[in-house]
Amino acid sequence: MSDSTHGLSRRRFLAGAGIVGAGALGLTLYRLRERAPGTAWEPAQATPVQPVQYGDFTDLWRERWTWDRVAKGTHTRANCIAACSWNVYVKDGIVWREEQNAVYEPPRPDVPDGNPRGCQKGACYSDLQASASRLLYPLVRVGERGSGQWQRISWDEALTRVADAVIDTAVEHGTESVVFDHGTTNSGYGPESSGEVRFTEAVQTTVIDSWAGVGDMPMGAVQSWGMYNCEGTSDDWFRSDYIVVWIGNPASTRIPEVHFMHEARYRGAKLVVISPDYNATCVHADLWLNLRPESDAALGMAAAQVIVEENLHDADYVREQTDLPFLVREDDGRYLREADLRPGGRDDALYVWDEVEQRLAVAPGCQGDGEGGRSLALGALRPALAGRYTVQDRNGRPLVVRPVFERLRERLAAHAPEKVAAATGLAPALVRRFARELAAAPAAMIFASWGACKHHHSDLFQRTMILLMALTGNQGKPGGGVRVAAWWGLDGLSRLTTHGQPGVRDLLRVLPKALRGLTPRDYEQLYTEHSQKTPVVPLMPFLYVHGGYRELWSRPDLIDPALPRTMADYMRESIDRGWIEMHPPEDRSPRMLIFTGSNPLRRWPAPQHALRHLWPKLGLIVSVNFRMSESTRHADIVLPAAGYYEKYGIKYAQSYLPYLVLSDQAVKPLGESKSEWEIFGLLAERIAQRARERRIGEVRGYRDRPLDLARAYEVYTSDGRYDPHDAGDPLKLIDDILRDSPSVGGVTAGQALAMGAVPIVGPARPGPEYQTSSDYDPQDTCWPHRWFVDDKVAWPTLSGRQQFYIDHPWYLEADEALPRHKDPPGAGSRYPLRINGGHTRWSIHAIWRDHELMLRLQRGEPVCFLNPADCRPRGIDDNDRVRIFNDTGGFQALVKVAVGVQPGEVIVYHAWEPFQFPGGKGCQEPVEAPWKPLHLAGGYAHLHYRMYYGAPSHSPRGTPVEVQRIGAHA
Amino acid sequence: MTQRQLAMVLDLNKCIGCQTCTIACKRLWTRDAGMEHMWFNTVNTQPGRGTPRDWEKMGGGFRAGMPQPGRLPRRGEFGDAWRYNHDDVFFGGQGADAQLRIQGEAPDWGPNWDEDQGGGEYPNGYHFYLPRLCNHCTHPACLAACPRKAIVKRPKDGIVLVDEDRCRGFRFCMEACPYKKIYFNQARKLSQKCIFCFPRIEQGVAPACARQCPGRVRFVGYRDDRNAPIWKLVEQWKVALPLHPEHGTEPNVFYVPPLAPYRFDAQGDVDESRPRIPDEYLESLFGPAVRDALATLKTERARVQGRGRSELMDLLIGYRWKDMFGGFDRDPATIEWRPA
Repeated sequence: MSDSTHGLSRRRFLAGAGIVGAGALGLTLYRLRERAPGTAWEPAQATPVQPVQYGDFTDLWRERWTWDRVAKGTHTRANCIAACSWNVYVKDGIVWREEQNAVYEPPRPDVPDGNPRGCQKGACYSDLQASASRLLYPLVRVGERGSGQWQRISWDEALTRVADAVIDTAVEHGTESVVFDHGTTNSGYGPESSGEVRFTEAVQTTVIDSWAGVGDMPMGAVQSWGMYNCEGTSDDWFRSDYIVVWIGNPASTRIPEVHFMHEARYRGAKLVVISPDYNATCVHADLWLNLRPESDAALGMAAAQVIVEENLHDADYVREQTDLPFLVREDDGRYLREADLRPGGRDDALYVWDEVEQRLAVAPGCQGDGEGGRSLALGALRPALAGRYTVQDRNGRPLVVRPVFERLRERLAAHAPEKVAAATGLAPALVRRFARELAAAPAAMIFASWGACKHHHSDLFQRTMILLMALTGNQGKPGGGVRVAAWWGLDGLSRLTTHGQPGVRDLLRVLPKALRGLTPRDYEQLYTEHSQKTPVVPLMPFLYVHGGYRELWSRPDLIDPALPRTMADYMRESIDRGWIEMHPPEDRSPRMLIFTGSNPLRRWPAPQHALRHLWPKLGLIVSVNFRMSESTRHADIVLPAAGYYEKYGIKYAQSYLPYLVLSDQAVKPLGESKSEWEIFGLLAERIAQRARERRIGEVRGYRDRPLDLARAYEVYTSDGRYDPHDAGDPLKLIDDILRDSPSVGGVTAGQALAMGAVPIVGPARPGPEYQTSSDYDPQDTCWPHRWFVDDKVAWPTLSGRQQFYIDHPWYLEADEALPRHKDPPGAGSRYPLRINGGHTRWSIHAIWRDHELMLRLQRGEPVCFLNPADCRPRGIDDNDRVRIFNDTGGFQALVKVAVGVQPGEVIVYHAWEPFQFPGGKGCQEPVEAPWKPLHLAGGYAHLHYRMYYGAPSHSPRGTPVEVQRIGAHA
Repeated sequence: MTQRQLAMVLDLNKCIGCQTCTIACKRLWTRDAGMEHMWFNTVNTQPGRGTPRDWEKMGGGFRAGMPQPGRLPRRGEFGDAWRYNHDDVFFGGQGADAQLRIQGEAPDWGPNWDEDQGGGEYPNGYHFYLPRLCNHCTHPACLAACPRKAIVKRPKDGIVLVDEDRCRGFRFCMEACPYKKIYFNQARKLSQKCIFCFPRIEQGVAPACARQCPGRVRFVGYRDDRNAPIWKLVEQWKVALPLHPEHGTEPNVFYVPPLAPYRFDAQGDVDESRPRIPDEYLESLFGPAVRDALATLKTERARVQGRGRSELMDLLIGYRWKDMFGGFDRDPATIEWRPA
């Protein structure tokens, strides 16, 4: 969008030239009046000319850099794993541009400060907010779904249509058949997100839990730690001596933070990148390990083998902080349990062999240790890491047991660098160099964030990474340990909901425990109970049961051949045992879909399956978004949401910076768009009104319990506390949130919005995503897991330790009780190439993908990167158009020939909108994303599902494809 | 002759090619009619053909004091301002037949066309990111070439500006600039280029490309300020070098050359005998002084790896962001243009 004038109005030019004051326009004015024929013109009352001072061309440039006012803003609903405060410059009533609000103070003098933060996407949101992508008016589809034929309707009509559809669905099928998707957690901590939370609670819709659904579930961390949101402040990276980026690309995806890694190099650290291709993060690395794709567990185990063989591991740390000394039965491969030793013994009391007393001892910190599993402190105990011991079982028979570490040694031997050289493609000497450097570094960390969750066997990869950090005693150190991501808690977040998160009521219920202090296990129990209050369903199982993906994911070539049972078997057992609850129930169907901050048809694997099988089931599809998207194109009703600078909000509190970032309403929403707070409030109100008008009594709600939709608005507004009709209402909510949150030191909404970024000054109550697990110290960098390592609190696992042996029956039968290398299901595919690549630097998911300014700094349309060795035999030149396909589907893209791509890879960075491709066939068409049925396992302490935890992770990486040249780009 | 000269140092060991600088400049200065295709600041992957395409072969500058012939880059070689058909795709009623595409002829170049492609051969390929802006040269070829004296160099700070009152759009400056950092505004028949954000400078605010860089790549300051990082990096440590010094214009934008990860030898182990980025390539960009600059960087890195201290390393870390801007550290949001 360019200004058609030279950005300068006549009045402003004169004003800029020094003429001020009303009436002093500096010209001679003649008043026109009627002239009688034959008479001469007479000058009217003249105003004397004031001298005009013209500047030169430099004044025109100076004039450009002026504005009317500044508001503090941010991009509240962009799921960017960052939080950056911006100054939003408003001129002539529109947002003219933005520039970072660089106010961040360092916690200590020997660490760089975090300024300025912000990226190129944030720096042009003002353009996106006013672009042709913007939805301005409520719309109803008038052609076929996806035809692009729309009619503008009034808000009144739109609200009534949606409300009636919700009621119709609820009456006929129950409210669980209304499905709500808020996607990749493009959501925040304030009113911009509270609307959808309250709405789904008031109406008791099924809520799709897409955390794992977007491939962001670090199952390896879940399996090893019973938690995964593990990070601190990004300035803590500066304190590391050996920074390993393992399946990640922070140069593209952690733009505001990655400078700490580069500055660490100037402090003496080494930066190591483990990636098949030479990605943007390799550019400033010291060492690149170019392993073959999906051989990461082989590399991890090989490095562990070197460390253990050369005795470089920290035995004391291992004894205290891991389950490696825990005793395992030789006969059935299960942990030795108290139940094995005496009738009525506990199933969750596990054992070590005490070298001091030469006898069995219950491991402190395991769930059944008799002290509530609170502390893993060993006291005088010295658990053996080696040996073979015979004990008497409950029937008097001998039981042979060995520590996990003995079994691990055997497994490591099978993964020695020479043995896995073919799998990894790495020279053994290189692996040994890496392992020795890692072990020798005073503090070593592994950055393995969301990208490291998206392969089929990502859990195995992550388990080996965690093993390496545990063997070397790095987990829990400043600058050390595996780092995923975390958010600060905010006690006031319970205000986002209608019934509060685990809060005072829940704490009172666990009062005896609370008096001693709740352990991480206790909190996890609360989160799980809280999750069970709503019909939340993880995405992958939902798509399997209701989305039309059952057949695809039952294909034998998409299952790990080591599994003895089928996907259907595992799904059946999981649902029957209640490990996964299906919503809506299996025998019912989704009938309505509402989505906001989400773009399922862009993101879901092989979305053509959803279009074919799920879409026809849906009587009404409603999109509540600020921009047009592929999914919105296939919706029935569009409700336009306000842009980020047009509403009040709180950005989710990423732990990287010790600040809470807020967004002011810089300008009113464009067109007829409204904030989500208002939209969902009006919807709840209309539902309540229509329920009364239509005399709808109770309907079936969550689990078919009776629900009175006539109360929907009362519930939404917390019994009238809030009033979404009031433009200032969101401020009230923000006030409530902040008042309840001592961690931000008692600021009011007004103060916080004026600051833009409010310092975190203290700790918050743990929350489902707040898991730094360290006490907060504002005078230091923050690193995770200090509670366990410094304070000896038990980890929230069965063993109370970082757990590398998982004796869940499913894991035993899959031979994954211990981590190991496994080929992915696609290894035997006849399709010779593999799609890899991570998140693009050019967009936060699809939000900026079709933005003109971003596209002009690329090739303008979707591209893939190929090594010359794969281009030559296919006759492909740079900028040729190719088809990338397999039996499931295909898409077209332009080729960029790149020497950094490993031969065999097709690098496709994510989030292109399908409407950017011919035929609307986007880059997810061939992506089968086979996920691991093991992730459905539950009933095992820390292996369970609850919202935002422990669900099967979407695994789009490594899709086997072929690439065929279509022609030169026309 | 200028009394003082503003300069910039860019540490290529921190640039991640995010283009925040490019967008910052675009959103601030090149939004008006005729400026749609302009990017005063660009960032390109090197090795690469750059912006405009193959600019390094377009001549200009001086050799032994004599102006060298240079050619005028075409608009498409910079990369035209592609337009899209969002409305058609969203509301044109064509369903899946409507594809979001560049309207008109398919382009064959853009300002970041060869991003991440690089040079060499797998697994010893290499690339890095090179941000470029007008160098505000001490001996600007553009100024020398203009027959109307429509290019001026401000004595107080050395900023080189196109005098838009005098410019008639002849474009000899575009031929003469060896860095091809001047654009032509067809709507106003003017040459236009980076102004070093002089309106901000005058208010004590650092240029947008520097201040908005999340990588903390850029230092700003007067060349003669011995207490500030610029002088230390350029004159004292000599690790900050001009780009293509052979053109003889004496640019005032300097670069700390990039290090890179180890190469692999034929067995797949680390090859420490030579760098991944060939010295010859860096020399072709920064001149022979680059070898000493790289050696200094490595020596000082080794010093801190051995737990010693290094003033150079501390300078490059840039502990306090505000101190990177040579005194131009005012927060622009605190400026009020009109009384409240």
